[in-house]
Amino acid sequence: MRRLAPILFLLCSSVAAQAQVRSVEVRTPRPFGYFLGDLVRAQVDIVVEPGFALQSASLPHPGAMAYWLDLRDIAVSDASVGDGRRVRLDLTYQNFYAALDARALEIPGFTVTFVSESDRGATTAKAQVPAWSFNISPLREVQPPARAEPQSYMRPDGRVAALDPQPLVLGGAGFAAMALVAFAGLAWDRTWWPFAGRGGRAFALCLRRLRTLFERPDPDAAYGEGLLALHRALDETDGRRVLADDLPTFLARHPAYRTEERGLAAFLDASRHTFFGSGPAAGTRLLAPSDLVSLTRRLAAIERAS
Amino acid sequence: MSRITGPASTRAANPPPSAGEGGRGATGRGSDPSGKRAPLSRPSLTRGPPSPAEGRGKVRARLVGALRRARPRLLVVLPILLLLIALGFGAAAWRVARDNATIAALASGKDVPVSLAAAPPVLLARVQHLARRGVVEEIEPLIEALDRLGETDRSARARYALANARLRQAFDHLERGDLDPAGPLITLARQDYRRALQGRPDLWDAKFNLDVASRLLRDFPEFDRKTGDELKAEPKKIWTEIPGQPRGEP
Repeated sequence: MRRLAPILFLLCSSVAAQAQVRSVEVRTPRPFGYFLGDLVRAQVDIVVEPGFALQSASLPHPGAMAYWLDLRDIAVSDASVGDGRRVRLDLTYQNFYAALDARALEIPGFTVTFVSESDRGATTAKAQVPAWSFNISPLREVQPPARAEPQSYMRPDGRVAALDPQPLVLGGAGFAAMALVAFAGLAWDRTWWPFAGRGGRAFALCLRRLRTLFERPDPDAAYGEGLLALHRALDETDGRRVLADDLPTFLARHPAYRTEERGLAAFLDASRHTFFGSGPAAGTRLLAPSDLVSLTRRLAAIERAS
Repeated sequence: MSRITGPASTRAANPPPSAGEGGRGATGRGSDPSGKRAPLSRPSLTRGPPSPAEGRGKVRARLVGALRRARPRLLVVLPILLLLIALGFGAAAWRVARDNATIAALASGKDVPVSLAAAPPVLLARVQHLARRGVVEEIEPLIEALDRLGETDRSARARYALANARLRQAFDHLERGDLDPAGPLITLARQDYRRALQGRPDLWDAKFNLDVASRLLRDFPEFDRKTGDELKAEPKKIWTEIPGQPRGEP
C-alpha cells in the first residue's frame, strides 16, 4: 500500500491537471456573410480553476496571421463564475481574401497557457482554442461584363467635402456681440462716451473736469475751480452739502470712503485756506494740484467699487 | 456760461460751497450724527442677507461680496477676454475659408502647392489631385504627414487614392502589353488598399478596387497563389509570400 501511494498521487494530479481548464468555448456573431476587408470577431471563453492566471505571452500577437488574415486586436477580460474563473478573449480579425466564389475559410486555433503560482512551485495548464471557420462571399460576379476601358472597373478616388465655416462664423459673431455688450458695461461703469452724462458717478465726472482744468494756462484759477468741482462731487455723493465739519458724518454715511479720510481732510483744509485764507498759494501748499487729482482718482475708484 | 473768466473773478463768481455766513461753524445740517442716522443711500450688500444664521445664506453673501470686490477688475477683463475669443473664432473661420478655396482649386484641377503643415482636408485634397494626375512620388510624404496627425480616416482615404493611381498606371502598362512593370505596381496597389482597409475597414470603394486588383494579379502565373477550396493560415509560417525558396534539385 505504501508503494502504491506515489502512483495514486500521480494519477490524481494528472486528473487534476486535466480539470484545471474546465471549458473552452468559441462564439462568433455569425459564421457567414463576410466580404473582403470585413472585420471578423470571435469571443473565446475559457473557464479555469481559481488561482490560475493567463500568461499573456502565450496569446497570439496582433499582426498578420497569414497573407489573407490580420489579427487586429485582442482584448482580455477576467471574471469569476461560480467557483471558477472565466477568462474572455475578444478577438478581432480582418479578412483580406479576395474570393471569386463563396467559400469557407478557417481561422487557426491556438494554445493559451495558464499558470498557478504556489509556494511549492508553479503549475501550468494549457487550453487549446479550436480552429473555427467562416464563409466569405465575393463582391462581384466571376466574370464582369467586358468594358473597353479597363479603368472603368475601378471605383473613383473620392472627393474632399468643403469644410463648413458657419459654426465658426456664428461663434465669432456671438462672442463679438458679447464683447460689445461687455465693453458697453465697462463704458457705463467708467462713464465713458455714450454714458458720459449718466448720474451716480460724481467723482468720475469731477476727475474728468480736473484733467481739462489743469491743462489750462492759469494754474491758480484752475486750482480753485478744481476744489469747487470736488466740493460739488462730494455734495452730489452725499445728497446734501458737505462742509468741513461734516466729514465724520459723511464718512459714517459712506463708510467706503473711510480709507481716504486723511486726503479728504486735507482737501477740506486746503479749500478753507484757498477761499477764506490767503488764497490758492496756501491751498497748494496743503494739497498740491497733482495730489488733488490723485485723491479724486482714488475717490472715483471707491465710487466704482461701491 | 464760462466758469472761469480770470484769476480775480474766480473767488467772487464761484464762492465755495461751504462759504456760509458762519464759515466753518456752519454745521447745522450735519450736526445730528449721534441721533437718528440717515439710512445708507446704497444699502451695502456686503453685510449679507437678513438671515445670517443659515450657512447657505452666509456662503451666498460671501460669494456676492467677493463678486462685488472683483467687479471693477472683472469689468475690464471680461470684454478683453471675449474680444480675444471672438478674434480666435474669426481667425479659425478665415482659415477654413482659405482651406475651402484651396480644396476647390485642387478639385478643379489647378496645381496648388500645399505644405506638409496644412490642414488634414487640404492634405487629402492634394493627395487626390496628385493621384488623379498620376504623380505618385509626391504622395507618400503627404500620407506620412496625415499619419503623424493621427488622421486615421483621411490617411486611409489618401492611401486608397494612392493605390488607385498605381492601379491605373498598371492598367496603362497592361493595355500597352507591358506585363513586366505592371506586376509590381499591382502588388504595391494591393498593399496600399490593404493598409487603407486596415485604417478604415468600412471603406467599400477600397474593398471593391482591391478585388479588382486581386483578380488582375491572379492572371499572372508568377504571382499565383495557392488556390484551393480551403485556405489554412498557419501562424508559425509568416513568410509564406516570399518566393524563390531554394528547392532541392537532384
